[in-house]
Amino acid sequence: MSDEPAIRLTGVGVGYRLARHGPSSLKAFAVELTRRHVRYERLQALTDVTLEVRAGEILGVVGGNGAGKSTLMKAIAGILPPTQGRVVTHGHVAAMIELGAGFSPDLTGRENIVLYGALLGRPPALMRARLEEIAAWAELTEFLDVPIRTYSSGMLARLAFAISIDDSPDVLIVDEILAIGDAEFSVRSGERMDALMRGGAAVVLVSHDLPALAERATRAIWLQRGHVMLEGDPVAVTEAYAAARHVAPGGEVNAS
Amino acid sequence: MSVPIYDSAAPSPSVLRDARATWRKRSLLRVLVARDLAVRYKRSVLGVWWTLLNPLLETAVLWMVFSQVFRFAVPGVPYVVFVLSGVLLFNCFRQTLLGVAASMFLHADLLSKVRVAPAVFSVSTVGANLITFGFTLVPLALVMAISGVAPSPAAPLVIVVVLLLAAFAFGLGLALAPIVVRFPDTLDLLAICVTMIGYLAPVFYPPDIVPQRFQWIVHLNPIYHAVTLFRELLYGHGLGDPLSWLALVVSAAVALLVGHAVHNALRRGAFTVL
Repeated sequence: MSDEPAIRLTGVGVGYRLARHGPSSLKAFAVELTRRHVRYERLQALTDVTLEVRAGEILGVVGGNGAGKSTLMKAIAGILPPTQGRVVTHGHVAAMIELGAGFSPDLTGRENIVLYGALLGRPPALMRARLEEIAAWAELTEFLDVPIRTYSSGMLARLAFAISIDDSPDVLIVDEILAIGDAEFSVRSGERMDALMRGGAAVVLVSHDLPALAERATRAIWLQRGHVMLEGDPVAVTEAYAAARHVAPGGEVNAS
Repeated sequence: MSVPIYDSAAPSPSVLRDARATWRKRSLLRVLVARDLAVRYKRSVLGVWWTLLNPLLETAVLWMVFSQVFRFAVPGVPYVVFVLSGVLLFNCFRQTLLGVAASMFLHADLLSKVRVAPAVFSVSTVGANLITFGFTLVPLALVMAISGVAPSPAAPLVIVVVLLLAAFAFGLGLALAPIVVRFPDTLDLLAICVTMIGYLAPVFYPPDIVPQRFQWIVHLNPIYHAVTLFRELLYGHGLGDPLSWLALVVSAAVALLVGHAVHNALRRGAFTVL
């Protein structure tokens, strides 16, 4: 990859159309349309975000609930097309957001590893080759041939994590440094995640754990109401964000 | 291997480019079709045998209703064979269309968390339905054998008819899929429309009971051409009316092109309306 950054956002905005009072059925919509009643509220989740992340960089993102962090992650991951501006990413993208979407409860662990991996864009043949190792890592080898609807939520989380982490992406999007399972597994998954983040990919790390973020990130941004408030050194950005949060404890900069 | 590039500002790809991209994803599609079929039959005790038994039982019901209760005189072939071939093909169309239209809605949760082209689920639905239809041909062949109807030498060509009909259903479903995400009740309306289309085609009645002055309505219906060709090839004597072939090919092509265009135009907006 030449000079192109792995992630480039130029003037990116994402607006949702909120049909709060609007119809949610086709029949109602048709009726409203004849009365010329169809109205949407616009909800701008992200406004004019311009940023670049190069291979080997870890961009930390802080901000309160509803600041646009999730929308930013989904826009970079290519899940949500921006309504303004442009998102360009180079290379294989792995988004560790809400893991486990795409599991089929009636299928076995073995089948789900291949299925989930395929949905994440990895060749099924590769997944079949990696299957045993993934299962061993998730400590689920003995449950591989059981339908996963019998799994506990902890087992599901471990399986989803083990599949997602078995990857070498060029662009990595991480929502919280996940703490999964018991203490021992949690330490192991944290280490694995750190290794993946330091593996040379362009990383976007979103976290409420400010010290952990400041320690890992090479650069940070602070999002508020969809705008980039501050960009720069992670320690400076997290401190500024923490200070603002103390000033306005009831405001929407308040982190959960 | 080239580096995959995602550019949100890239224009929507053409039908051909999308077709090629879908072909490259065939290993993912194979996994999804296997999942669709597995999920459909895994819960039953009989497992895979259900794929065979299910159409067999359906056939038994149809046979009961249409050979004992209703009766139409059909020239040349026992009524059971006539009705079964029509109904099975029409059911395939119905299930493919409804399945494709619902595919984005059913995977809405996944589509908001993982980057996959929504069309992948539409294509895999078609695949699963075609395989299921293949299984229903077994009881159809059985009924034909019992009724003493010899298959035509041209019978293998029915595959082409089924594929064209599936392409027609796929195109229509593709256009509707983003609309169903926004308005789930579209599916109910669609189910009613499909039933209506079914009654307007000679699926379980012979085509000539329709009065002459309404025949043109029947002939406008692509299902009519598909069903007629299917029967002709299965147990008839010729290769089917060239005009029916033309009508079916044109319907499939138009549905695919229009469906693709509408799908691309509406897809982006489907998930940003809350």
